[in-house]
Amino acid sequence: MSVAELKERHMAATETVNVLRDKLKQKRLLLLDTDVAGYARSQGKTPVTFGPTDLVCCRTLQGHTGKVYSLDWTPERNRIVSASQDGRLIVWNALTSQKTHAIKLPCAWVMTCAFSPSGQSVACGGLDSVCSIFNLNSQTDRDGNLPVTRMLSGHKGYVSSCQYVPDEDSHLVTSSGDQTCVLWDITTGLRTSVFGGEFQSGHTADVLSISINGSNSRMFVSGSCDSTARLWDMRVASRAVRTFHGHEGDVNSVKFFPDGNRFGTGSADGTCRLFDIRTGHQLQVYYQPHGDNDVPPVISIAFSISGRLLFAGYTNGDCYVWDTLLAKMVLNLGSLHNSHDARISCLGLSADGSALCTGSWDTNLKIWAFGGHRRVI
Amino acid sequence: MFGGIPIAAMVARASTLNKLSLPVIQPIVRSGNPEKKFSIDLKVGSESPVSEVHLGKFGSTCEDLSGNSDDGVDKEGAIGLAIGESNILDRGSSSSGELGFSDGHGDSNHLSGSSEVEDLDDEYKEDLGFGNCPNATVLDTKKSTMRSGDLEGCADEAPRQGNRVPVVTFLDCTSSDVASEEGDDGAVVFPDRPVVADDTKKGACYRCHKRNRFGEKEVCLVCGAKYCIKCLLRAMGSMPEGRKCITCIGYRIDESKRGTLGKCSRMLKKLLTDDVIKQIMSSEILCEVNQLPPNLICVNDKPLSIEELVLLQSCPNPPKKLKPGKYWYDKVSGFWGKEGDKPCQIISPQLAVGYTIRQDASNGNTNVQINNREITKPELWMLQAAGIHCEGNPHFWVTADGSYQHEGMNYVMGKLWDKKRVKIVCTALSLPFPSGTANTIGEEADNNTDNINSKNLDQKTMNKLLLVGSDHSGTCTVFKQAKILYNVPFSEDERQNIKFMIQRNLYSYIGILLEGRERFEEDYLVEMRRQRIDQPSSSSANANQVDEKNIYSISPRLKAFSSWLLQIMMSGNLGAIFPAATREYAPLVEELWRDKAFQATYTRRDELLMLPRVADYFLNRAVEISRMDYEPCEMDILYAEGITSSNGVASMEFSFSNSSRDGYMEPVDQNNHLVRYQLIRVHADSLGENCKWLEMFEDVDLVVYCVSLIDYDVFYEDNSGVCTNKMLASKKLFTNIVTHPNFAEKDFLLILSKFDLLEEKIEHVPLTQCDWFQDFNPVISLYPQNNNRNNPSLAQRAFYYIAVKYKRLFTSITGRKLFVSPVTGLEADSVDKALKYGREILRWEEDIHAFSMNSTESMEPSTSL
Repeated sequence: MSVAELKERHMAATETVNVLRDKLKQKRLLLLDTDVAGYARSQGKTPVTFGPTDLVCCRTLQGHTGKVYSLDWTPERNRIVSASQDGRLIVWNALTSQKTHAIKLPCAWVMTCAFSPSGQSVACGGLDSVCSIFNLNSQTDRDGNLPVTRMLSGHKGYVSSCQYVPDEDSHLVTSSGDQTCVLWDITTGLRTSVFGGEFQSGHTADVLSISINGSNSRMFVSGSCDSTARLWDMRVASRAVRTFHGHEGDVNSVKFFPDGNRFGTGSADGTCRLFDIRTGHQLQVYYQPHGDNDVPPVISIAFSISGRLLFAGYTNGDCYVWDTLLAKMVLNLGSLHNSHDARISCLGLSADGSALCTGSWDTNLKIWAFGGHRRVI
Repeated sequence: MFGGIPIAAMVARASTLNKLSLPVIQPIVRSGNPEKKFSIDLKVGSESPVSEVHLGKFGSTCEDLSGNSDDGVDKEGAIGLAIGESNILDRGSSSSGELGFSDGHGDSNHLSGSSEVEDLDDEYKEDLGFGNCPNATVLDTKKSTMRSGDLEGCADEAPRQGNRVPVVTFLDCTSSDVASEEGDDGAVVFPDRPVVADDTKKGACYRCHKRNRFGEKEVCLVCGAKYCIKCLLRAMGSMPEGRKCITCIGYRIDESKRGTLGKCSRMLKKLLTDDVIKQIMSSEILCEVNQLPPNLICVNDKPLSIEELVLLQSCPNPPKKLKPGKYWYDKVSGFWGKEGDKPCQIISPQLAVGYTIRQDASNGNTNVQINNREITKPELWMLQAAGIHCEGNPHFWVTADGSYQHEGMNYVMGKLWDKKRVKIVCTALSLPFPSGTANTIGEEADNNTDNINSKNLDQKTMNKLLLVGSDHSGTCTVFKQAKILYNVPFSEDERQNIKFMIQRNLYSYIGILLEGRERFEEDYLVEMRRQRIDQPSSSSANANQVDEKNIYSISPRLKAFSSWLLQIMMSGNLGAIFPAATREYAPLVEELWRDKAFQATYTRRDELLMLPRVADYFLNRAVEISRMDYEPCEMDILYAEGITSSNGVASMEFSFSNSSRDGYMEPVDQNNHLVRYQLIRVHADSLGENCKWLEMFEDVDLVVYCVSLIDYDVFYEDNSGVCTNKMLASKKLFTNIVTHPNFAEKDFLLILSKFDLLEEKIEHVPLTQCDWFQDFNPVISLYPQNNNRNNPSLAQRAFYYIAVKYKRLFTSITGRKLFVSPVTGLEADSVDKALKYGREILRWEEDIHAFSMNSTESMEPSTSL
């Protein structure tokens, strides 16, 4: 078979795929009789209301000298690790706002960080294409720096996101600009599986974010510059379980819904969406129209512990709190007077859901807690 | 801005102060006169009717709240907020009623109640009962009640003391109304915190009240509270502004403790790691609220502005131990002293600080004047000792170098500081004497303030240059060259990596040559056979001879090595095997290099297109390089292909050396050597086409984009099999970066690299190979050897042409000008020139408004060679 012939067949196949995809889209539209908001309204639900003291900033964690890019909580709920452009990871005690560790990184351009389930070590990754693991209990060297315990190298692009597999300190999933996600065995430092890549049906552009299913830790979802999100089974690396189309821009952030059957996405097209992993349907779009044509992309999202609230940070500095049921914006954290001075770049809920931590380009982190008659939503 | 930051401390709303029955020290109330408000508190607190009303009210709410307070109390350890429903019901936003204590400080911050008080334990009720009492008593009571709880809580990280809830408190929403900024000239005024009444016994810790005279203590810079090693971290928290109680954060430090800024006790060093200490101390020194408040310093009756203070502290001879107060300053001679006092120092003259000096500034009564100031007695004695006649109440005019003359007389009578006795007299009378010879050396200036300035300067003047370009565009060479140029050493790791890389590359070059050899051998054989057919007369023996004589054939041993190497190269495992196998194969390389067949191939290396140009440089020294003990020299490093350090990003900090000659540079100003630059090199290809990573570099000052001039005829095939011209790919990347929203306002410097190679290439390959350069049709000079300005060479024309193409592209996107500089990466001078040009651009930006007109003219030499 000649090259030209092959190319022709490839073209034809691509065409067919596109037609089928369109058909699928039509079919889905037909099947989708309502969305979450419509149904909730018909059931007479009312949106969550926020009094001035219901969600308040109670701590400001100061110490970084560069933009904060990422944060993560420990499961035991009172410690936070944050990564900043000043080339440091800082481990905080969220209750006392004390720094317990300040880790100087070999590469200052860090994009992501994660706490291990046991709280013993932290992982980070960035433009150096390496995911570095630091054991918090190891001895510091002469200069007082914590040595890198393990370098997970193998990505051919920047490491955009990393997350430990729940309850396993030895496994970690990373996503990278080389269009792949990788499951690592930390003890050996080797790749266990590679999701996507050249010969597989993976993402076709940089993968920006991952989230592991809280209730079934074998499943994780990834969001990418190819404006899709994909669901993966860690045991089946060869192909994605499902691909979720719908966004019209880069999917910057994905986060599993607390019940594990849905996940949320935040995208450069300015919308957040809710997808169901069982049916593959898009359940809801969260979009707040602005007056002008400017559509600020979503950078980071997080769900409250019940899933009723969706926190979404936007590039213009807003941080909306969405009522996920009624698709209504109920609060803008970015406009509260004691909020951050710059864009909120990362969000994270503590494991018990009692506090939200936000990291910002103004170099600070803030802890917000639910107050008033409700403690946790 | 510091007051606006919510801190784990209690805050009460100013507007509700009059309802307050408890004498509470208000930690964060940004106002011009906090002391005054404080005293109002006290007054209100002691007015019995008000507090009675309040008490009654409290009683009722207490009943109402009995249910609420329970669930507040029960929830321990979490970051829960103990805000009762009553708050929400109560007048919405004005409710800032909040009970809580950050457990770290036991001195004064129990309650900051506004309208409602909730969750009261017995001890608080007790406190309330004392509401009308004087302040000290209340504090005392509190302390006694605190003590028992604190002692047990000391070791425990998550505090659970008694039945109290560890509540994370917060700055209330409404407090920003209060925290509006006040102050002159827009300067931020940081409130002064009243010093806490010291009722603690000597030697006791202010928090746990344990007495330990000999145990070291750390002192709060604001209120002077002392804490022992156990309580320190709880009382001071994460120390975002240095050693201050959590309640004191945001307050000005006690001026008497200014000297200890940045100097921590051994105790703290024991407690925290060096790294953390360093950070805390640096924030202590640098944080805005700890700086000397400029408006408290009056020079010649004028409160200083920030700029004046900086000017004063950054001059070569700054005033020592500057404290808030009133000073006089003699601009002409540099005399400096406290108002109403004799001079205490001679600082740098001619600083534009303060108004003109008053005649009675130093409160002299001698009728003798120096520079319009009536001098004091000691000064008069000094003058007399110097042998200067002071009869008739003369008015002197003394300049900085000590030369003095009568007012209005243009005749220098002598130099004051040159007289021998003056020095002795000055010391005796404790009058200042200029340090050094000409009052210029400020070495002994107060270290403290000096440090601040240099550090501030450091942080401000770190200019970031982003060096980016597509694959093989020369960024790497420029980066390495800059490293060598500005004396940034390669680390041991880097050298090791480079060594391995060079060795690995060497084997790949050898591989390419061996592959070529095979081809040449075959060609030669074919040629020979053809010759034999052409000349059938020659005998068969002859033919055998030909085979043997084939100059491209090698010994079986080398042949084995050759096929092995080629096989590895085919499978793409070269990186995995070398340089680990270097030791084993070094002798073989030597043998191979001496082999004449190999040498014969080497002489025909021009025919091997795969062989990169730099291969020559290394192959010549193949034997040396393949040895184990080979150490790459700087030239080797420069020539080495590939990336030096980590995969995608490498960065270095440097400053331009002053000694170098600059073509278009104005005289280098004094601070110049302080200006640090950070060159960040990004390998675009390894970071993805979507340029997601660009966001990380949003704070760079200048983007240096590298384009290889010889890319115009290079094509490569991407994943989907489409053939792309590298120049067009480079153009696309350039467009991507320029149009990136974060880079909209950035300046760009285009570096066109590999000019030396262009000169060679353009003779053989026309520029029009690239679609973008279709309309390049230079007028070919009749005398190509006549290579001067009026008659530029083809390569120069091509360079101009490409530069203009990029400039037009840039202007069409942004409407601004693109700066262009040619570079030959291997020549140190040209890289130096380009980076200095980058520095020039940054300077231009600084005063672009001043001469925006000129910049267009000065653009022209930008593309000159």
